Amino acid sequence: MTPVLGSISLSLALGVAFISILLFSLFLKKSDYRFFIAGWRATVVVSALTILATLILLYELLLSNFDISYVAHYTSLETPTFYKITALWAGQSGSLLFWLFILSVYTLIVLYQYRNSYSKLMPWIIIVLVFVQIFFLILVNIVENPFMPTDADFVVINGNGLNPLLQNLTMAIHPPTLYLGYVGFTIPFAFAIAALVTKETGSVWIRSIRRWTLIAWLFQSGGIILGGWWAYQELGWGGYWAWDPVENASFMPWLTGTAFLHSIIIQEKKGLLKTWNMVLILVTFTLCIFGTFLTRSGVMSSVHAFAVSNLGPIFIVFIVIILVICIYLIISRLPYLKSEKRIESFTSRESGFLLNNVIFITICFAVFWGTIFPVLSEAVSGDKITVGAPFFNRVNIPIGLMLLFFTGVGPLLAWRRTSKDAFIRNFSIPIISGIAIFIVCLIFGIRNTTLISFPLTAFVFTAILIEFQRGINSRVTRFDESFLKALQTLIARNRSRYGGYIAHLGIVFMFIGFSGQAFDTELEFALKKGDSKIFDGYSFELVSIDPVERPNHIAWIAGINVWNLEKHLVTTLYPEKRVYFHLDPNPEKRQPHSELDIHTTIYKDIYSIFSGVDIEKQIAYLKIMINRLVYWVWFGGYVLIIGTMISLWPAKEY
Amino acid sequence: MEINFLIIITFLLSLIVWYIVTPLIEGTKEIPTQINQHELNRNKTVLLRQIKELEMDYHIGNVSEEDFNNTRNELKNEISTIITNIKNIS
Amino acid sequence: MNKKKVTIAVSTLTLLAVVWIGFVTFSPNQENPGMVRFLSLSEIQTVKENERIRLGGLVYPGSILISEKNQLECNFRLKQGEHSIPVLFTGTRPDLFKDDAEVIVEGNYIDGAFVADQLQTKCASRFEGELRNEASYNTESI
Repeated sequence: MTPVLGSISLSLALGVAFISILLFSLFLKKSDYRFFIAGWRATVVVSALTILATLILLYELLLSNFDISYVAHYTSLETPTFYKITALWAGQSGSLLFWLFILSVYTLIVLYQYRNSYSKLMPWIIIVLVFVQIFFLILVNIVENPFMPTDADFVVINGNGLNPLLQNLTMAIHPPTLYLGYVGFTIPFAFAIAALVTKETGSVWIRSIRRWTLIAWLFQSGGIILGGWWAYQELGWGGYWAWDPVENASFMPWLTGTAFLHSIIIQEKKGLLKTWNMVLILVTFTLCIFGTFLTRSGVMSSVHAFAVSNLGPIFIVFIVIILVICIYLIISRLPYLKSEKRIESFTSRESGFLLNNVIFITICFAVFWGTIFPVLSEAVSGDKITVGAPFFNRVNIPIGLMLLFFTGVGPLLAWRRTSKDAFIRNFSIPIISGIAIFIVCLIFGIRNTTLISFPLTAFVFTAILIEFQRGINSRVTRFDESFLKALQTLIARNRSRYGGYIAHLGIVFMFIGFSGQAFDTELEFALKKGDSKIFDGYSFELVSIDPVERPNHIAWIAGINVWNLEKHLVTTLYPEKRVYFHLDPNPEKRQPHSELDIHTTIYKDIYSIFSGVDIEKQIAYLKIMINRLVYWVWFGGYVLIIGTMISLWPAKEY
Repeated sequence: MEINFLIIITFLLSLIVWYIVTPLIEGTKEIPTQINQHELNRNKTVLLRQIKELEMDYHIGNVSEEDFNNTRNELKNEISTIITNIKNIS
Repeated sequence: MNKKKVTIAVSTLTLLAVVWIGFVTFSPNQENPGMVRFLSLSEIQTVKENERIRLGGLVYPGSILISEKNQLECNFRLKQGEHSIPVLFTGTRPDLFKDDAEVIVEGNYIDGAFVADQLQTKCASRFEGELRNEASYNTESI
């Protein structure tokens, strides 16, 4: 009975969504405020019904009601309760419903945030949100209904279960975090459309969406970092980023979103780049939808390959509709998007922001190009071509380094123009420290890309410190505060700015981590119990191979002592070779899985994979990777997240 | 079972209809004034924050004196317009 | 500085960016191109010397031969419709590599055989597959 209720809520939601659009059109036509209130309430109902449907699906998952096809496909009786919850977004229809769920929660927040205020933008904002809801409601109602009953001609006693690769805490948080990001960009998008329609393209809408954009951006960044972290911990190829189409799909809106986040500052302060900002947020939202489409349609083969589905055409139609409306709106509103001022000098912060945008868009375009190149080349020359990581790395490393460089330069530039004195004052120390590190690298015999990236990180790092020091100094001289007190009040009173600089620091740390890749080494070898193998400054001794039986799998655990060349025991690693569903009588259904073990320090990770075992001969087949500086990627990630959260923290009104 | 189910659905439906329709019957045609005021107040705080940021930029040395004075005056004008509007409403 | 200058600067940068992306696309690094052709077995004769390519197909059932001396070395036949080709792969095999698994290999085609240095398997069939009948698994174990 309850599943039917779920289905009914979804259909009702779709119906009410149309009613809500109708009510808003009536309001706009007759400017009778009663229609606005009714429309507002109808939107609340749509969102509430969607949330209700999601909760019902969750309830059925927890109950293991295998009469629902979705529940039978993605959970089994053995699935731990926690992963029954995460199964909500493990499959196609569930994840679409989950998208809608997040959108509904966001919509409710927007509705309540503005319940006591009215601006010309409001009806249009809600209309856009409902419009997006309608699209996803159509998907979950007609194309991919998560409440579809099981269509087997037998009673399903147990479901298929959740892929063990997905039974991992990080993997449980990664998709919803990313979704919160993807969906979050709908709100700034709605504001943008509303501003265009009502011709209120001044700074009001820009100011109201900074927060929303930051929230979406925060989740998007967090989701991407978690995804990398999961791949690194779980997939066992020793890296965190493979330039796989689905990864690219999440990276592209992040890039344009980041560009947007920067360029709204300049519209807010200087009234510049109005058209550009519109284009950016529209592109970002389209890329979010495109990302959801790529992830869910199976149109590109990737590690994320989910079942191929019939979603493709519908998504394409939706994307085309959005683009047509947006382009029409922007072109017809061009007169209202004129800049109030202009850029006066190349050494101004304005041009810094402009350059930042150009670089972000270039990276985004390069990624987009590489992602769709296989499709293009097949259409043009008939050759199927796959584009791999070397292409993306080669294209993006120089641009990325440029971006890093300007991360340091931008904040030290003054508005309008930077005087020569200020230039020398602000940049001498960062340049000196960059050169110093360059010399150190030369002395140590470094000859790869890190010869450029390390000095650059030093340059940017000092530049950011100088930015803090300038702020602190101004407080110390003006208010006679102590250094620490000044730092504290500086951040507390200018959260969005200094939070941003802290996020920049995070990026610098992440670049240190990316650079470390240039020094990675790996070796695959077989090792008999009791023997050891020397590799890259360590000796690996295989001490034990122990079989273990756990509730849903069996495992062999290799015990490897890692000694350094001074004969000190560094650590003992326990990578595992597991077989899930080992009780399944059909050997085809059993699923092997390598659980790796990593020893992490701030200099390097010792990464071990247990790839095969010969129990009779007591031989383990191992892959060892020494990954330099990976720790800094995650550390930088934390700093980035903390910085963004500081930016977001509500400021006290003085 | 079936009956209960129908009752639940009917109840849900009538609740929704009631919730959406009541403002059409009870509400007023005009936008209540205090609602406009809220929006203006919101804009005012945003502008005030902007002035604070500008002052800070000036003290750090990112904005020249001339720019600082101009922009501050512009912002102050905007705020005074808003304040007049608020007064006019109430 | 007028609007024209800004436009010129931005267009120059954009042009540079496009040229750079085009350059990387069409003059690939020979050792590690990053862009490789994905061929079907019937097209394999078109391979140029030293060209890295990708092949996709199924693992011919019963063809997996793991070297006695080094378990990391493995021979198997890759099947694509009626065609098939011997593949030699050295390295850690993915967990899902087995008979009839859908795999993608990347490497070089040398004298009628394929020497792969990359081997990927497609997603686990179990999790997107058909629902199971009661008889297909051991109810005792639940």
